[in-house]
Amino acid sequence: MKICDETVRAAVDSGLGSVRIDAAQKQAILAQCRPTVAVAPPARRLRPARRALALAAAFALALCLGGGVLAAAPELQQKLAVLGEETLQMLQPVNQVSEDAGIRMEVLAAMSDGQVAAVYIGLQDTTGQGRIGPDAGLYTPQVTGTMFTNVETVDYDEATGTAILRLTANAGQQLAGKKITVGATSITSGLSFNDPVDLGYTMEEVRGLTGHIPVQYDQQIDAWGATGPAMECYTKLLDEGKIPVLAGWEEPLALPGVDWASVNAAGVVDGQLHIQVNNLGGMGRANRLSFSLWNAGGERVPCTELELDLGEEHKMGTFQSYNDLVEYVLIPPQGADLSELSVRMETMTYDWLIDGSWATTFRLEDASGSLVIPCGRDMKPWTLHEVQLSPISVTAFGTGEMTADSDAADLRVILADGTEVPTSSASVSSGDGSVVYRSIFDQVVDLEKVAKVTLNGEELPLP
Amino acid sequence: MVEQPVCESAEMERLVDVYGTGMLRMCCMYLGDVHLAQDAVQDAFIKIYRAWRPIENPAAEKAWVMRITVNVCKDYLRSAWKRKVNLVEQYPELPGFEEPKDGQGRLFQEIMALKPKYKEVILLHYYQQLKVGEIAAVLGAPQSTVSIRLRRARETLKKRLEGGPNEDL
Repeated sequence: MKICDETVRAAVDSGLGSVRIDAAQKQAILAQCRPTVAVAPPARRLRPARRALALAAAFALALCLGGGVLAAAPELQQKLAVLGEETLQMLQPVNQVSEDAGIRMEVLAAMSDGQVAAVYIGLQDTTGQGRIGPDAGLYTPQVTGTMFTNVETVDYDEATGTAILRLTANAGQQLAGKKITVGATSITSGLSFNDPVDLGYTMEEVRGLTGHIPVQYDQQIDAWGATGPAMECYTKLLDEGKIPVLAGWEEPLALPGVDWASVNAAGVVDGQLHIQVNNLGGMGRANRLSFSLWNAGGERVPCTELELDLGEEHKMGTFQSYNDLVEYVLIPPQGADLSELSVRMETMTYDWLIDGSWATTFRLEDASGSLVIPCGRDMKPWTLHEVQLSPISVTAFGTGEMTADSDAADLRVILADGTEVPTSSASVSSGDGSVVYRSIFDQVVDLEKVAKVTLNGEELPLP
Repeated sequence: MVEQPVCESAEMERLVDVYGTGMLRMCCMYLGDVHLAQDAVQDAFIKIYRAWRPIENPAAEKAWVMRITVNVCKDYLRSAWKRKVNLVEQYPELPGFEEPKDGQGRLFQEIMALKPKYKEVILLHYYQQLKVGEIAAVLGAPQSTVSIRLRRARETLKKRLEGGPNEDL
């Protein structure tokens, strides 16, 4: 069986034919997606046991944070007002600034419960160019000593042009009480998916324009992508080194409205449109480009598409990279009239890709107050000894070895209003006889509001 | 504070009608559990609603919706209680596993048996028909990585469908 759009769609649609959004689900979704009016909740009387828990938690927090809470920092409180008063009370003010390339990165506040840190930062353009918009982000985030970093936008203040971001860092080592460095080397803003642009050439004109095209086989193709019908046979040709690539022109051709890439060569080889693009760096490091063919009726023609990475791969930070020479190949359906197929270009662009060096180092305060729930459970064969609940994560600690048949630690945290605390990321680690399950919350949780913690559906007794 | 554009009810309803079922099936394939997938779709639509902005280009809108959906699924998978769950054991609960193991049913099963990183590129590429560049943007991964994963996933599917060795990716 071929692996292509049609077969995969048919397989998924037939396999899950009965799975669809029904009227009740649709109503449930729409009911949650409508404007709401915030109403202050009534004062709540805590049950005696809950009061004891609240007092203990508040006492622990007071001990840990002392007078350093954000309540004493009105400016920070204003910047992070969107988080709410209760959350602000729990954060450690940092107020460290790093400025480069006219972008001010301010680490506003942080919190750690040990190996997890939540860091709130503000980004602002000090040059008045408006380079920091509502979708501004760290393209290459870095937090020292952490295994992974998650970045999300919390708020955007249009009056000051300040984007507030939340970085969540999960480390395999103790962070609380230690110095950490938070930073980035590239910042992006203003992502757009742009409409296709007609390049003013049909495939036939590209053939006529270029005449005889020198081609080369067996080129080093480090990576490639292939999409569309008949893709499988081209996959084989790629593997065998039988896909031709163009020899570059002496003079590259500019693309309309694109100053970060140029056409290094273009031509029609064996009925296939080849466009070789030179990535000039700059914005081209983050922007993306592709080509498509359209018929005389203005409809997109389904083609087999190949993307051949021919140049050097350039790394950006830990996760990002781009290739400086890419050949795009479009193979129209057999029998298509090349004189009727016009070539269009599609781009995904950022308004800004700002390079610099932003880094601030500060000492995370000791771990925030947390609840420790002892619970000796046989997880077959490892043993879960305790569950630790902090304002930013819930963690199960155990000893022993995990096997494929071991029980999972299904931990859930339910608040007094009945809602479950959402999580954005989690990790499981084992080794040296220890097992650690950790889930990081999407928000800072007021421990006073925790009604129950469940392990595999069973409620754990709160201390 | 910035004035966030409001997604009108009719627009939200359109998004649910256009993408809802496709998202639900994507989430089912991702998570291996219909009920979990329903929760994930609901969460995804709430995020879409909160972050909504007008996008005129349908391809861009689809890529944006898929990015949010994939991120929600990843969040679910990352959570401790899902992470240890063996998806291979769980996916027989899906309706597709009641079908006989031939043709489309066989392909469906083999896609489900792929590891998440390979399954996601197959689904985004063939089922949602996103290009490599768009998938790279959705996943926040380099295009070269997406391409390599696609190739390996295809090769594995092909081998398994031909009755070859059950390569564990």
